Parts: sequence; C-alpha cells; structure tokens
Amino acid sequence: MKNIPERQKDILSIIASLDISPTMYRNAVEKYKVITKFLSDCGIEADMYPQGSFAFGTVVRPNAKDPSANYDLDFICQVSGSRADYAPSELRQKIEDAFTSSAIYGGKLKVCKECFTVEYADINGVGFTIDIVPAADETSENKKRLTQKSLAPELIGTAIAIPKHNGERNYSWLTNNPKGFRIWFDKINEPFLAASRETYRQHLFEDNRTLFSSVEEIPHGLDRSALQRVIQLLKYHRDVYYAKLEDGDDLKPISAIINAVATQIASQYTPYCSVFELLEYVLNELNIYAQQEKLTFKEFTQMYGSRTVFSRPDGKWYISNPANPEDNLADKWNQDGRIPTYFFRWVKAVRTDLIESLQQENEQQFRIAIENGLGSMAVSSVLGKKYCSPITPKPIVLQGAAKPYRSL
Amino acid sequence: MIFFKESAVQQVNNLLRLYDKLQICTMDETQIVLVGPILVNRSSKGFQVCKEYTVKIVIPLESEELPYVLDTGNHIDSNYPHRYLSGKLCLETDANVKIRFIDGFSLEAWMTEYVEPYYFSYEFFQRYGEFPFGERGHGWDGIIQAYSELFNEPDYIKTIRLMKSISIGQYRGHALCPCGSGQKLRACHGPFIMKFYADNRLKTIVRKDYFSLEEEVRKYDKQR
Repeated sequence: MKNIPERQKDILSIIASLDISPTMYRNAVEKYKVITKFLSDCGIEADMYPQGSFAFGTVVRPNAKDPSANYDLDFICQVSGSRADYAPSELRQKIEDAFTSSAIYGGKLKVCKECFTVEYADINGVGFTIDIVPAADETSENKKRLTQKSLAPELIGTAIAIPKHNGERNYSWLTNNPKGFRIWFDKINEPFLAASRETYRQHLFEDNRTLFSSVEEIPHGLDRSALQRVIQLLKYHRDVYYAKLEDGDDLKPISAIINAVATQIASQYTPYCSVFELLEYVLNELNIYAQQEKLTFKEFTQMYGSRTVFSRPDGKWYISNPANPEDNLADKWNQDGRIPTYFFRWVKAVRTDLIESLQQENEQQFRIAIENGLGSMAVSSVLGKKYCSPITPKPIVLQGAAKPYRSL
Repeated sequence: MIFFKESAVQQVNNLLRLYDKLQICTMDETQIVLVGPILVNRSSKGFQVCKEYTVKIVIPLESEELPYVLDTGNHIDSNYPHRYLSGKLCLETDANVKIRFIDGFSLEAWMTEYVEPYYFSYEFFQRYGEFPFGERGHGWDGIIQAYSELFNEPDYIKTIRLMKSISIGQYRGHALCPCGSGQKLRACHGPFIMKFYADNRLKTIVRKDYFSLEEEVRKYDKQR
C-alpha cells in the first residue's frame, strides 16, 4: 500500500539534509560580522548584508556532481556614500586593497572579476565560501527614475550600484536591488512562515538540542516555510536535471528566476498549505505559462488574462524583477531560444519526480523517480535502501552504446 | 544468413527465460515471432528507467534480414524520429547490427545492447530533449557516420574512399592507404579495416552499402 504522507516526509527529509545546517548558519553569520568589523578597522564604513539564497533562507547544497562542494553564500558590501562618490573600478579596488593587505584574509581570498570570495574551512566535511560583491547606494536621480517606472515604488529606496566587469580593467555601474527583492520576498513569505512556524521550530529544536537550549534561541533565519521548501526543491532538482544536459550550465534557469516566479505564483495561493500542495500549484501554473511557447501574446492574454508572471509582448520573454523595473530576469531567454523550451520541459520532469511519484502504486517506482529527480547520492544518504528494488538496473556503458537510426 | 532455425530456437528459449512474460506467437520455417511485455531496467548518466514495453519481435530465419521489433504497445510517441510508421523501431544502422551478429552476437545480447538501450534513449529524450548516446543522421548520413566510427575516420569523404577500397580492392598493407593520407595502409587505417577485406561476410555488408551509395549518386547526377 502506498503511504503518501510518509513519502512526502521522506522527500522533505532529503531537502532538509541539503539545507545549510544550524551550525554552519551560526558560523556564517559570525564570519560575515567579523568581515564587517575588519573593513571598519581598515577605515571602510560598510553595511554587509546577505543576498540571494542566504537572505531568502533557500540555500541548497551546490553542485550535484561534486558531493564535497562548498556552500556559496552571497553578500553585498555596501560602502557609505553613493555611486556618485566613486568610479566603479575605484570602489572595487578599495575593497580589494583592504582584503589583500590583511594577514587573515590575504591567504584565503580569491579575487574574481565582480566579487571577492573568502573560503572557510570544512565542518564535518562541508565548507562554505562567502562571496562579497562591493556596492554603493544608487543616486537619487536614478532612484527617482526607477520609482516612476516601478509597480512597487516603495522597494526602490534600497537600490544600489555594483561595479560590473566589461573586460580588461574596464568597469561600469550596474543597478541592482537585493534588499528590495528580499523585502518583497519576506512580505509574501511571512504568512507562509506564520502558518507553520511553531511546529517547524519545535521540530528543529528537537533535532538540535545540543545547539539550542530553547526554541526561542533558534535564529529566525533558520525558519523554513512551505514556500522556501518549494524553492529549495526546485533549485536542487534543477541542478541535478541540468547537470545531465550537454550545455546544462548555459541553459539552466538562474536562481533569481526560480525565486521570483515561485514567490509571485505563491502569492495567489493560501498560506495554509503543505509543501506539496504549493509545489503542485506552482508547477500547474508554470505549465499554463508554457503555452506561451506556442500561443501568441494576444491569444494567451485572452485565455489567461490575469497571469503575468511570464509575458511575451512583441515575442520577447519578460520576467519582472519586483525590485528593479529596468531588469528583465529573462534577458538570456531572448538570446538563446532553447532556454525557455528546456525550462518548461524541466518543469514537467519536476512534476513526474516529486508529485506524480507520490501516487505510484509501486514503491520501487517512487524510489526511481526521486533518485532521477534529486540524484541517487542525496536520496541514499537519507533513505538508505528504503523503497529500493532488489534488482538493480543494468548500467549502459556510454562508449559504443547504440545510437538510434532511421533510413529515409 | 543470420539465423539457422536450430540456433534461433535455442536462443529464443534463452530470451524467454530472460523476459518471462514474452511468448512465442508463431514459429515456422521462415520466422519466429514473439509477443508480450519486456521489462527494461537500465541506467546511465544518473537516470534510471524501469518499465514494461509491449512488443512484437520478429526473427527471420535463414535470411539476410535482421530481427526487428514492433512497438505494439504504442509506447513510442508518433513524433519521435526513430520509429517507422509501421511501428518498427530504428535500433541502429543495419550494417552496425549485422557486423555484431557476424562477431557471434546472440539474440540476448541484441536485446540488451540494442533493444533495451533504444527504449532507454527514448525515455531520456522525452525527459531531457537530448539523446544520451547521440543519434544517427537519417538515411545515408547515418550509414556513413556508422562506418566512420567503425573505421576510426572522422572525415566522411575519406570514409567513403575506404568503403570503396574494401568493396572492390584487396588488402595490401604496404600499399598507400586509400584514405589519401600518403601513408602505408598498415600504418594508417589498416588496423581498423583489415578485417573488412579479410572476412567475406563483412566485405559483403560494406559492398552492399557502397554500391547502393554509388547508384544513388549516379541517379542524382543524371537528374542534374
């Protein structure tokens, strides 16, 4: 007999095992605060704050191909003053000079074109890196222009400019707004968090009694709502799926798209839902948007007028960045037409592996589906041999494997 | 000739043990036909398929024709480019499969190395939009590509030169390689193509394809 709640619990345990651990979370917070103090000691007054998955609470273990890969945690280092006070290359250089002159950071610093990466030692075999992107406040003229264009003008106040690399030593400013994005996300996520907070925190406390002496002590950055879990499942499934494609790295949707579209879609749903109800709802909606591959923009709007998460006016894909009206998250989709096709095909695979698999009469088929979706390593490390078939599949050796043919 | 009845019956019995839901539908002097579901439980590239497919397998006896599979369960989407309208699956080029049978290939190996991977490739393609092991071009492209792999020669023109030499020439290791490299055959493609000169059955396969290609080119030239 299939036990759907148990299968759901098992998938959730797998995704929880790929999340950042409370110990690493605590460690990372401590480390970035130390960096802020270090910069201040160097005479650089800066606000360091998390962006991306660490800010949203949607971290997943990176690189499905390499089990020992580090977690990448992204931070913005916003110096005081606005972009008008610096040339972009000058701001970048200033931060670089501070780090490279330091005895502590000099050794473990990697200087990249647009960020600085500090690597921290492993804890239980897994380490993390802190990626620091230098930034300065956007100018008030630019913010005014953005505010006029924005559908959420209240978010624009936190817009920043970051030095963007254009080749050689040439840098220009790029507008971004990670704080605004986070405020937008937190607002939609809050009711989802509230709906499950108490039970979730109680469970986390029971699993980590050595770390916390009470539930209250658990940092809220470790809370996970149904929405956050859905985003984590989508991101990890994406990593496993696209790793199998020839040009996977060029084709895979960026995390910002997954965050933006899942959150936007979730805002139309009830927060009193399970992870799987929300996941199914998000996938259903994405499947409807997939029709834009075939329908004209006019036809789609006539049929599904209220759906605007993805749009294609004049044939070009558009996914809005809620905190920056001048940013189109789907820019790359318009340069490589394969990206949307692969994206909507991937959505179908997520459905097969994480939703339809729950209904499989046969336990082994459930196991195969989640291994296809989340990788055998992640699944085995949590579930062991549970649901496994006694007959292991026979591998097909790549070298010399038959290629299908067709005569004319 | 690929199968004599006696050895075919023995191999079919092995197949029926391996695929226990498969049954003999007809057996006469010209062919053996098997019908029923086969279980494909294979993995590659971190993807696993474990699924039953209903098929009809036809094994021609005392004939040059290869065994073939019909997708009687209609599992393969009609838009999939490697299935004929009749439902026959395009497993590989004939030459490729025939050469394997000459090398002592069994029906069981044919199932595990061609038929099962065919279904695996299909499921992989449906899921990822890519072929896990690549695909052959249609028509002559695919045939020449298969020979190009067998001869270890990436250039198609040179591959055709080698096919021609095998079809109408003899192996002379000290002579210049027909590919046009200027090297002696034994130091060039010799190690890969010697057996095609030496074994008449292999030579016949190459010859058949080469002469059809020549005929095709002649027709094309005439039309122009």
